[in-house]
Amino acid sequence: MTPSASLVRRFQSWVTLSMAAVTVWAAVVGALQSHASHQQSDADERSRTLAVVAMGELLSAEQQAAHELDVYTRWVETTAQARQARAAAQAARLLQDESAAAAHEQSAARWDRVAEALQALSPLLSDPDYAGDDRIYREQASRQSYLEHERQEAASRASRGWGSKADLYVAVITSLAVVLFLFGLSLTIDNWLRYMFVAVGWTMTAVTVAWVLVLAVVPVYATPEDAMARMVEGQIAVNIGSYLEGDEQAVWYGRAVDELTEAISIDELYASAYEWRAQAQLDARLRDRRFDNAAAAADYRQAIAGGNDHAITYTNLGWALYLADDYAGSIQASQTAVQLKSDECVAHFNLGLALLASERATEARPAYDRAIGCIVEAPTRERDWLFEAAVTDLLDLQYVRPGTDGLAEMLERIKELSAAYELFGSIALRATDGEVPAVRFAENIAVDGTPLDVADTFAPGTSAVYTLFEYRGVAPETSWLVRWYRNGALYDRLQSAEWSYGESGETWVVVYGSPLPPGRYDADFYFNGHRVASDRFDVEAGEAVPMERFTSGVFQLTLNVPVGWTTREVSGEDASLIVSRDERTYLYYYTQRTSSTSRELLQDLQAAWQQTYPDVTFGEGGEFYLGGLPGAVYVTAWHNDASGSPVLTYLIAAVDESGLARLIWMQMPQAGSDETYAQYLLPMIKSIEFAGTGG
Amino acid sequence: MPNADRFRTAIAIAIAATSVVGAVLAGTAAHVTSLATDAQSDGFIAVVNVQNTDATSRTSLYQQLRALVDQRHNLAMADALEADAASATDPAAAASLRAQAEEYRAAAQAAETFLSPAYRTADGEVDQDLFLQDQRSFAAKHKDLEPADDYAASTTQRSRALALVASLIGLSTAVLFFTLAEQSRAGWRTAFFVAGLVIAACAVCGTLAVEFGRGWFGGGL
Repeated sequence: MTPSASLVRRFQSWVTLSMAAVTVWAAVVGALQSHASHQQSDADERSRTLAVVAMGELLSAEQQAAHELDVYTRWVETTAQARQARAAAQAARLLQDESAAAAHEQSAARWDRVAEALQALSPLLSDPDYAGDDRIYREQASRQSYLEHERQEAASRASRGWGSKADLYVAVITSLAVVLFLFGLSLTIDNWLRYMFVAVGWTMTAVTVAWVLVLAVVPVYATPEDAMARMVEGQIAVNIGSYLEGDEQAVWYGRAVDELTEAISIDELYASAYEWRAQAQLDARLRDRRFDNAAAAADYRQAIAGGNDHAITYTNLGWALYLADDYAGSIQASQTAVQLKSDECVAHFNLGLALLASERATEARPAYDRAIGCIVEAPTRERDWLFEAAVTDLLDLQYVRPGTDGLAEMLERIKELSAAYELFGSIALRATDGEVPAVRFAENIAVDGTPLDVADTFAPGTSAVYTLFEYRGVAPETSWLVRWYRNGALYDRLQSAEWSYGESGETWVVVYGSPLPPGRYDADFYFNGHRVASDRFDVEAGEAVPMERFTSGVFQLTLNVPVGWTTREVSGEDASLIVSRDERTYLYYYTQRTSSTSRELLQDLQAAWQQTYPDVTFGEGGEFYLGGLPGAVYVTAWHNDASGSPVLTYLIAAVDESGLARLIWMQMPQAGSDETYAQYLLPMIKSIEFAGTGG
Repeated sequence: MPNADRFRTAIAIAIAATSVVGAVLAGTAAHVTSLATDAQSDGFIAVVNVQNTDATSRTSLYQQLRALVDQRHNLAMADALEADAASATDPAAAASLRAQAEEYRAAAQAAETFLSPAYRTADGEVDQDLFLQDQRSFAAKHKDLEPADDYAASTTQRSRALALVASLIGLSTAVLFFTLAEQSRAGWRTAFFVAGLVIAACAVCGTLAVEFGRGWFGGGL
């Protein structure tokens, strides 16, 4: 054998050995790939299984909550029966029918016993943590479902982790195939190139060894169970907080932040925990900023970095940065959101808003054009909400930074487009010659239409504000709309497809509350989508009893009633009775036909009262406002009730032109009667509206 | 035939035999992986069955609980009416109250018919856990409700597959040594050949031990 032949033979031997060694190494990598692939398959299967389990748990929670709500509803009906029976007893006593009163009292006691029996059947009734709030109960009942969902997400993440590992192993195996090819090629070449192929092959093999070592050592990310448990508690607290307002909301959001911070301290890569914590620190409105929006933005960034890089997360990040006055960041995040999802309408609006806020009106206009285009394409149920939110955000910006360039023009445009959409179902405005030259506000209105208590500022507890407006040049086919915004948020609206008040004159519309919450109210008038007038009034802040609107089916009478008071129509007597929670204060209303005047009727009522309560003494009297009826009069009376406690009664009478007499007596304990009258009875009386006297 | 040629022939036979055994192991591993996947699918189906059964059972359970609410409601009212009737001074009123009480009691009894006595506790409640357990036990006669068993079987098969893959790596290493023996000088070739044989024997014995330990091929190839 020549030296050259010997060298060739040695080279061939080494290449053959190299090929065998690389084959073994490829088999090892193949085993690792197989393991990773199995792990991915397991995690994937676990994820699917947990998805089914989470769905089952959610269904279970819903069934449970529905059942508890069912029991609770039964209990509410039972207690309402008891209250109704007590009110009937009270009414019977007023009519001097003691035996009927006793029978009603007995019935009330029976309903009480039934309510007591039901109380033990539901935690909504027996557990003070819920206090009858089924939303809190539903959230708590959904705990296991949320936890299973988190586990499913974790399994899904693990599946992705193992999947990418398996893919990288496949890449390594592919590289090793190339190495084997190079080795094989080197055996067919006679010149120096064969050594280069072998050198490249071994270099690639060395790289794959380092690569596989790193791959094998780096663990697949797995969310710890403790972190998931804390995360779920935080999620529940955020959801409950979102149902609430004010301090109660802040308490739940604070709780959520604590839980989610704990989750993050266990697992610093927990993207969902960051996203939920951001939600608990994010304000809904610019003018009511209470939370740490900069912290919320930081959490959204962490969530995005952790893999929750969805369009909605960027949208929320954009909003958080806008609230934190970082307009440049907000613009960038909103732009990313719309790049990811072109129909993310909120992000389009946020982008326009941030551009306006950063004094870039010329760029804001096309952004708003795209936002409006997005709304037109949005699902119908979202359009109203999107328009409302857009107007509110612009009004808030106007409130916080008045005089912002281009803001007034944009606000006007969005308001009119949304009005057109509301009136016609499209954003095309129609022509109109209608004008509204003057607007004024009043707390009451007389039967003849004369406004009473005209003002721009109303006292706490005001339950209705009549909005009177002059108009001219209005065609009958004009569609019109009135909107009232309270502190920048839509409070109420009234609309009609046609105008039925003549070409010119004055008419009114009314905005109600139970009572109207304090704040600044802006009233906007639209004809065919064009805003033709705007004006504002204020309702002062102060203590006001929460009330609800009650309409008497017997009398076609509507009034505000304090929440928790009982109302009862007394059949056969044409009377309505409204009784306080402690059953010591009430308002009794009834009607009769008469030929007497209001004053004569009041005298008759006083005589009857004198007969029933011989110890009665009468006090001040005079004219009284009663739903705009002319000539209503009243007198006060004191007497001792059956228990010997002094009580004060207002006797009121009003007879209208048709001879229909309306009689009211309002009774309350004499102790604290000033407060009772001012806080409860006077707002009730002021809110009375008789059918036929309204607009 | 010279010694060197005989040795080369032995190496060739060893490589061929190892390759054949390797092919059999690879086929077995593929089959076992398929069994693992099947067991996993069975587990998933069992999970769906469990959720399906529980959802249906809970619907029945809440029907019972609603009946319980009706029964309690009507019984409480019947008792209250009877108490009032007992204290009533007017015989006509007492008779009317008793008649009403009877109506409520009849309604309570009607609700009672929806309540299965087997699941009533001593204080008249419905034993919800027992009810759900019974429903599961009944359903288990007709469908697989034990996902844990299926998943355990899947894990076992996966371990088997991994053991087979490990044996395959051993056989590949043995082939490497046979190749070394083929290419080496006289002094080394026997050592490499023996090493290859030992590794191949270990891989085969390991496989046999694993498989015999679990029952040959766990149901057959």
